[in-house]
Amino acid sequence: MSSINDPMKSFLHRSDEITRRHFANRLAANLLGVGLLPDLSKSLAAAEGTGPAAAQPHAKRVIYLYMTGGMSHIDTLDVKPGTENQGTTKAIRAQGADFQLSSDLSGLAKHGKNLCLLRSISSKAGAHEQGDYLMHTSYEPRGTIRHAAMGAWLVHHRGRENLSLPANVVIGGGNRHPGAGFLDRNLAPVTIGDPTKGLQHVTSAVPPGDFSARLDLTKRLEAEFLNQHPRTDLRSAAGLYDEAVQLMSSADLAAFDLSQEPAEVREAYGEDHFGQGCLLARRLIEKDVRFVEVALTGWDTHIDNFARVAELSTILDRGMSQLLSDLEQRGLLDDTLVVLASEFGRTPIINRNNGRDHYPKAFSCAFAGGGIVGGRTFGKTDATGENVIEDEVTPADVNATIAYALGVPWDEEIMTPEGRPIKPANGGVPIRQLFG
Amino acid sequence: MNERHGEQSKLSGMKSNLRKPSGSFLLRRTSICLAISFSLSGISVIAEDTAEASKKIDQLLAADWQRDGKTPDPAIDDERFVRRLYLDAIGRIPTAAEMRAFLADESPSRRNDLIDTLLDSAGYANHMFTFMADLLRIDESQPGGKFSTPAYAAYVLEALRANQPYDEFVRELIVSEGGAFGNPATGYYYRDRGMPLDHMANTVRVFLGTRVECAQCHNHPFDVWTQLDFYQMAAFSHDMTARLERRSGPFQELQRAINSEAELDSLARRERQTALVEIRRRATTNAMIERNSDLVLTLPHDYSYDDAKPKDEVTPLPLFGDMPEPGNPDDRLQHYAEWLTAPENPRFAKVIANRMWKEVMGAGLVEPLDDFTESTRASHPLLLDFLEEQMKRLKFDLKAFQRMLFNTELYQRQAHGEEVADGAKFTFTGPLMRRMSAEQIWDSLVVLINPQPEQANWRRLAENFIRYDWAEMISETVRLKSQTELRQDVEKIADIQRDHRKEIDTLREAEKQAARAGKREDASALKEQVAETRSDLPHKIHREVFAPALRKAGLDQLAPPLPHSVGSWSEMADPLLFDYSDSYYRGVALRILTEMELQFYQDEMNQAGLEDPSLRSQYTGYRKTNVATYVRAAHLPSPAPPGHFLRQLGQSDRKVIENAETGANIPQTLSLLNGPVFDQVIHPCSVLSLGLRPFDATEDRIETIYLSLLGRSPSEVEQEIVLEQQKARPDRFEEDLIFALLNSREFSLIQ
Repeated sequence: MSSINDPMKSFLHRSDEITRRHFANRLAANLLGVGLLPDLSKSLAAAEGTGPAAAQPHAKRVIYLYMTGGMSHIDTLDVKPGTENQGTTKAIRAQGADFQLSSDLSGLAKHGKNLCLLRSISSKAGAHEQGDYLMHTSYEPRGTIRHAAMGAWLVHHRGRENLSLPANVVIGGGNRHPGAGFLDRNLAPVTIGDPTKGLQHVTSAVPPGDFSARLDLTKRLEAEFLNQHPRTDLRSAAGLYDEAVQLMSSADLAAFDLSQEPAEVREAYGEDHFGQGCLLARRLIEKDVRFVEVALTGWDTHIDNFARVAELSTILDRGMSQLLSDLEQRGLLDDTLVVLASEFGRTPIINRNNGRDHYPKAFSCAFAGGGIVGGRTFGKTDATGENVIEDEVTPADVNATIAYALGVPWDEEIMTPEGRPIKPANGGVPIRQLFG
Repeated sequence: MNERHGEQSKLSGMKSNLRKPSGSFLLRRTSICLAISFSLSGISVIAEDTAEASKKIDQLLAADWQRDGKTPDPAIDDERFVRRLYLDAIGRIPTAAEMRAFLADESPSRRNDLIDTLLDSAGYANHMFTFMADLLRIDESQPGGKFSTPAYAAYVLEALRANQPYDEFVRELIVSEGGAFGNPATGYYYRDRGMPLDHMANTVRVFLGTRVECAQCHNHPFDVWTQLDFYQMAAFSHDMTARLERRSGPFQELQRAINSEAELDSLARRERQTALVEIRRRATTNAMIERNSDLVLTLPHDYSYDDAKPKDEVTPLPLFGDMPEPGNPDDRLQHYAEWLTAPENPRFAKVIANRMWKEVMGAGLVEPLDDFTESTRASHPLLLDFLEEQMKRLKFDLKAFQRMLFNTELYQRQAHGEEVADGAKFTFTGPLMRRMSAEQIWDSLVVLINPQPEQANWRRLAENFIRYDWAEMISETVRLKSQTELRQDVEKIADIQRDHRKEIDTLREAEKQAARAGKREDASALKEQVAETRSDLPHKIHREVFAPALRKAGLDQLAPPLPHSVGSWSEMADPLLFDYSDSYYRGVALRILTEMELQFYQDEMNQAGLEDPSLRSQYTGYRKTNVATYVRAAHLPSPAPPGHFLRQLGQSDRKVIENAETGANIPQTLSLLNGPVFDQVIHPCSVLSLGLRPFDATEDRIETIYLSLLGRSPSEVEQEIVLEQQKARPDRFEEDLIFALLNSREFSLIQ
């Protein structure tokens, strides 16, 4: 049963965590004069030192909506009504907010009070692979190392909340996802291709009686072998069988099963993979899965930009606004950070195919929940949408902000097995102004 | 008159490339796939000097054990030896039949013989491909990868099959220039396109086991390399640039000519333009690697050391040792390749010797394999020196080197199953026990399912041949035509198209009349004829325009033999049939291939003496479903797509060097427990099930299952447990046993 239906359990979860950390920290502070999470506190102190005191970050989970192909900023989050560059895209005012959005994002406009738009991202990565990688990892792709995406960093630093479900999930992502990079492979996202199909091979093909008879035989037959070979890798592999079997019978497994949602809910999210992916993300988040990424592909609109962006915006708008409504209604928006991001924007000047080309020089993303103050924008492009003129930030800063919201020490170095120092946000700085 | 200069030489270059064994891509792949059975080279006696070398290795270790007060692990029995050798030499477990054949062999040289047989079999290259693909990061999913990587992968596979000396292979990679078709070795540069600095860091790491990537940005903190050293080394190849070339140049000229021809009326002009499309769409895309001599490597703008200034131009200089000054700048790559692979290079031979030692024995004498520094000391320095010497003596023949290792007493000792602490010296009193690679597990499952485990999925092969080599040949023949010849072709195609339209119109008119006259049968026959005529158009154009051109150029002789001849390639195979954007053509092509395939399965059943009618009726369906799925990893895309069982098992994503994992994880476990593999393994037409058919007695069947999966007979205790299971579940116990053994830790261990 979900934590909504079991408020006591959910409260205990939360209070338990707070108490444990609090207690451990206080104990450590008393005994040693330091916090038990020294790097985190150092990061926070550093961030606080340079500006007004920020609230303690308190997001626990992330839903990361990734627009693959390069979402046209000027036709979605950074509209320039009345200019030549705008083309046929119309703008509408967002409710409870001081900004406008594309009229194809009318559902999100109603969430104006929850949304914070970041309109001043700039990078030099103008190819998909590089942009994708940079946005996910804060680093440029190198042939000699693989960096980790934020989902892996989050679980690495803050552990799992739900011990029977995977903590890091990617829905509909392409094969370029950097996953856990050089970090422990167990932190790699479990990939779901088709959200309506859920997690693969999680149910046994044979009746439960047969299954347990086989498992039982497996154990009896290899008991002797395992005794003769007392190795941790073999033991942990054997242990994984228990974990997998536990997962198969986990009460939370139903989180992966969208058929358990009422038809009208499924419809409200949109029947497409992205909409259903958003719904699956909500179900997983409800079960305390840490990081869920949902991808929507097709934004590479070199040709016929306006019709295609309108179509994609409709899909994005339906899924994301329904997701925000559901999270809000369930009281989950406060500790769930929702991010809308893409690898780059698109040329504000319309090309001769009525399309727009890659444009990393200025682009946008959006945040909601997780302690973000909505109804505002941060950063600004000029009237043409071509240049950032206020508060320029980088993809690394975006990741630092996400890390900050989650209490991940964004500037703590970790050594790769090769001895290279890597930080979760590659030296990016959190945009603390986005928080209360 | 030929209006384009220099094209003739391109063709002759291409032809010679296609003809020599290291040439075109699928020709080589075909020879691999058709070499289904082991080549029986007769009983070979291990070369005397190699036998001595094997002994010497054991002596060197013995001296070491004595000093350390260690005793060697006991020798293994034949059962264990067979399974281990199959896995280490050809990357998969033996079938029960292969096990039994070996165990029945009483010849005293049977172990040597098996080593030779396996090393000379098709499985060898399929296995070694994993090693090379992990090292070279062969990645078909990289952007633009479909234009170069399949050819590159096939090239590497063929080099392994032909056992090309390793140093020569590396030199071919380093000096490669040109298009992926024609010179697939260029895939080496294409892999790092746009990243020349990373490319050099990778090259030095892979072939010299030396880490210089830190020096890309600053002097190496723990080693001797400076940033300037790195840049000077990178200057050897920084100007190798990649681009995709859509070879449509001559057609633009033709297009302009048609457009500007005064005497054509608008209909004729339109017709010719339509006809030109048929020619132009045969121009393929090639991934090109070219040296751009305008590119000058300069130090970064923030270069901060005293030995040079920011933005200084960098001239090539080797990391260490000497290299003759190239008189001609065009010889630079050649000099660099020779320096890299020279026997005198202090790292080249040592690094590959250490890598191959680890492949066979489970741990390197130097670990990590690719972080040699001035202060590196091998766990067994004399042994490593000896191995390096042998690598040079064998002239970088990796197969001969492996043969030497397999023939040591050490290799034939019990595997060392205890954990070795990080940094502790491994004493090699036996090889190190380890989990199979993802590929070894997958390929071992394939062996239980697919009766031709070493064969490439020939349907994919034929498709690839048509899509790449064949299309390439046609593209080349078309390109080599003069403008005049091309214009003649355009007119010919325009004629064919016009006649075709007329024929269709006539048929349709007749159909209408028949319908009006109430002659339903005639009408539907005519309708069918319309469809047939329509589908014949591309073939007709192919037959009348392109096939003669191919014959004239002599290129159609280069196609691989078809498994079951249904005519010749030039008659049936229009590469456009495989244009995936055109589902109609694809449908036609697949139909032709399917016919060939069904014949293939019939032959397979006849060869296997499969007579039971119910099994025969299931067999074709089973094979058809599996032929593209359960093939060895070397014949699947490199790497397998995300979410594929191979990836769950830890196959490298081939994004970084040697990125494979052997750890367990949840999706992998779930796939083994509940995934589709198990059902295929227990299917009545699987290799495992067909192998069980001759046996009636329970004990024999149990033994066959054990031999098939674990390569050994069951112990008494195990036999008892299985018989108990039989009592409890008489109808299901065999499936239970197969499930239990597949899911056991022992299955995926190399013991």
